[in-house]
Amino acid sequence: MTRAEIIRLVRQLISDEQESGFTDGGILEEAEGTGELLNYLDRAVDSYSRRGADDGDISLLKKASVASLTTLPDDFIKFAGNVPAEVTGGVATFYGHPAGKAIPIRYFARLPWVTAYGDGDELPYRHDQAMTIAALAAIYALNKHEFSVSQDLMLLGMGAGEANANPGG
Amino acid sequence: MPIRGDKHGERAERVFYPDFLGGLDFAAPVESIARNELREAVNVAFSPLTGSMRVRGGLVWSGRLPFEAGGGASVPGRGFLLREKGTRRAFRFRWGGIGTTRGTFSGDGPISAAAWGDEALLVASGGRLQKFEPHGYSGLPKLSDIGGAPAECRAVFVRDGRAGVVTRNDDDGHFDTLRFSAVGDCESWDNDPNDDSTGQFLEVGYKDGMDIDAVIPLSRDLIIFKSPEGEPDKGIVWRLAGSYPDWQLLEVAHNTGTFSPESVRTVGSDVYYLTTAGLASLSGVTAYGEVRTAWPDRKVANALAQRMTPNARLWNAAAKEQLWILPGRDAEELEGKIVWVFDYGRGIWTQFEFPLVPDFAASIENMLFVTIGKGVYQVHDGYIRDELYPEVEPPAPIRAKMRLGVVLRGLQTLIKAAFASFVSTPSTTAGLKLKGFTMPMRSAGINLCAAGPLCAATDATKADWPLFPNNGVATARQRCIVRGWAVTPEIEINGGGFSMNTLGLEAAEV
Repeated sequence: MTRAEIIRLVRQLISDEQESGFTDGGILEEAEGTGELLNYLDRAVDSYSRRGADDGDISLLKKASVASLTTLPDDFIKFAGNVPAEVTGGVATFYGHPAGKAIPIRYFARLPWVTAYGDGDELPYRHDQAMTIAALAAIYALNKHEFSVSQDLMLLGMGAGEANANPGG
Repeated sequence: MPIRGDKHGERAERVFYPDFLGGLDFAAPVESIARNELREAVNVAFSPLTGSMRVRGGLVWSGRLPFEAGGGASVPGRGFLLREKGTRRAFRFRWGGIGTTRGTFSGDGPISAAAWGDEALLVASGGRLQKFEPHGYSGLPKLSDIGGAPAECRAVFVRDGRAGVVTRNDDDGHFDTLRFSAVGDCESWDNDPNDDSTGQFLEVGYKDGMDIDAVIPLSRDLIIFKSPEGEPDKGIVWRLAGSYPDWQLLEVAHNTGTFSPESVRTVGSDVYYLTTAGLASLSGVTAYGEVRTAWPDRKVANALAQRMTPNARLWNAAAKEQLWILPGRDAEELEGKIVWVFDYGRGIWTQFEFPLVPDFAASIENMLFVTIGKGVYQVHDGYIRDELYPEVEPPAPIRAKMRLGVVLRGLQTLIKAAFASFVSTPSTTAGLKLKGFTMPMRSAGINLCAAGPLCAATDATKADWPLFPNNGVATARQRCIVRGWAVTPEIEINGGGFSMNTLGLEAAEV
C-alpha cells in the first residue's frame, strides 16, 4: 500500500472521498487539510507500535548493534527481554562493557512514520497493520469533527480506559 | 434519512426540505427564509406534471422572421400578430409557421388589440387605428388603417358593441379621451347628437394633468390607468361602469398606475399590472369602491422594483398559469434575458433565463410561444434542450439553478449526509452542491409509464421519457464531511426534464 493509497483509505473510512472535509490544502477554520490526515496517520503508527510493544508483538522486533555510551536508534521503544543497561536521555550505558564496543541488542521498534515516505512510495506495513493504522487515523479525524468515537475505539479493542493510558491514543 | 448511529448525540439534526414550492423569497434574511423557499431559482418553475419544481420546457424552433420582432398581439383563435422592429412590417404566426401580412403597423408604440366581430382584430400601436383580417386580402392576411378612426390611438378595446380607443384631447393635447365608434361599425366615428348609436367620446379625469396609459376590462367595467409622465406610482386608476348614455366614471385607486398597454393583463376577474414598485393587481370585491388593489409580489418586490423600467412588459402565459414579466427592454447585459415568472395559481415566483432577450410571449391553445431574436419558439415540456436556430448551434442543454437558504447555527455546521428525491432523464445531469462536495443526481431513466399519448414520443431530438411519472422517483444518498460557519445548499442542473422533489441533510452543530 502506498502513502497515497492509505490516505485514500482513511478518506473512505470517514466518507470524505470528495475532500470537502479535509481538503488538499486546508485553511484554518475552513476545511481541514491532507497534512492533518498525515499527522493522524503518524499518531496512529506511534500508538499502534507502543501497544504492540506492550503486547509483545514479535513482528516489531529488530536487531541492532549499539556501542555503549551511544544513542539508541530513533525507533527504539523498549528492549526485548532483560538487558544489563542503563538508558538515560536516549544514551545507553551497558554494564561491564567499555565504551565504543558494539553490543548486539534486540528491541521493539516503532513502525516507520507515514510521513517518512513520499506519495507514491510503498509503505512497509503488513496488511493488518495498515488496516488498524488507517482505522485509528480515521477515528482521530472523526473526533476532530466531534463525532462520538467510543464505539469505534471499542471495535479496535481500545476501549475508553485503555485508550487514555496510551500516549499515542 | 441516512443516519450514522448516534454519533453526535443530541446535537444531531435532520434538515428536511419537503418541497421547494415557496419560490423565490428576497424579503427575509437568507438564513431565515422558509424551508421551501429559494434565494435563486433560475429556469425552474412549478409544474403540474410532477407537482414540484421542474426545469422549464425547452425552446423548440417554430418559425423564422427576417428581422427581430418588436411587439405583438394575440389574435384570438388564430395565432398572433408580430411587428418587425424598425420597419413596422406585420407577420402572423400560427403554430404551422409564420406568414407575411399585407400592410404595416401604423405606429411604433406599445401594441394593444381587441377582437372585433367574427374575424377581425382591432390594433392600436400609437398611430391610426387598424384592423387585421386573417383573410382580408384575397384569402390572405391583411392589416389596414381604418380611415374614419382617430389618427393617434394609444390603446383599443371593445365595449357594448363599439370599438373604443384612447386618443388625444382636442383642447389641450393630453391623451385623456376615450373615443367610441358607432355601435357595430368600427369605420364610423362621427357623432350625431340625435342618434345615440353613433360615435361618442368621453374625457377621463378632467384637469388632473395626466395621460391614459392603458385601458383594460375588469368584470363588467373598464379600468383606465392614468399617470403623470414616467411616474405611474403617482397615478389614478378610474373605472368606467355602465353603457352610454348611462356611463359612470369613478375613481378607484390613487398613487398607483402602470406604464403602457403592454404592462397590463387581465386574468379571470383580476387585472395584473406592472408599476414602479413591482407587480400589483386589481380585483373586484363587494366592499365599498368595488375594486381593490393587492400586491402579489411581496416576496420579490424589492428586487423586481429595482429593475423596472417604463418599457416593462407583462405577458400572460395562460397555458402554464404564469405571468411573465420583462422589466426592461433591449437590455444587453445578462439581466435583460431574465424573465420573472409568477405562477398565479399558487403564488410562486421564479425566473427564466433565455439565450437571448425575449420580445413577446403568448399562448395558442395549450401551447406557449415566445419570440427571441429572429425566431418564434415553442416552450415545450417534452424537450430538454434549447434548440435555437439559427442563432445558436448546436442545441444547448437548459441550465437551471436553485439556491436554498443558508444553514446557520451558533457554532459551525457539519453536514454528514445528504439525501434527495427527484425525477430526471438519462441525458440530464444534476448535482447538489455543498461547499466543495457535490452529490450527483442521476436517473437511469426507467420509463415509469407505459408508452401512450401521455408520454413524449421517441424522437432523435427528445429524451425518451414520460411526461407523467406514475410511480416511483429517483433518489440519491451520500455521506460526506462538509463543515463551515454557514452552509448553502445549491442545486445545479444541466438539461431539462428534471424535477426536484425533496432534499434532506443530516447535520450537527460542532
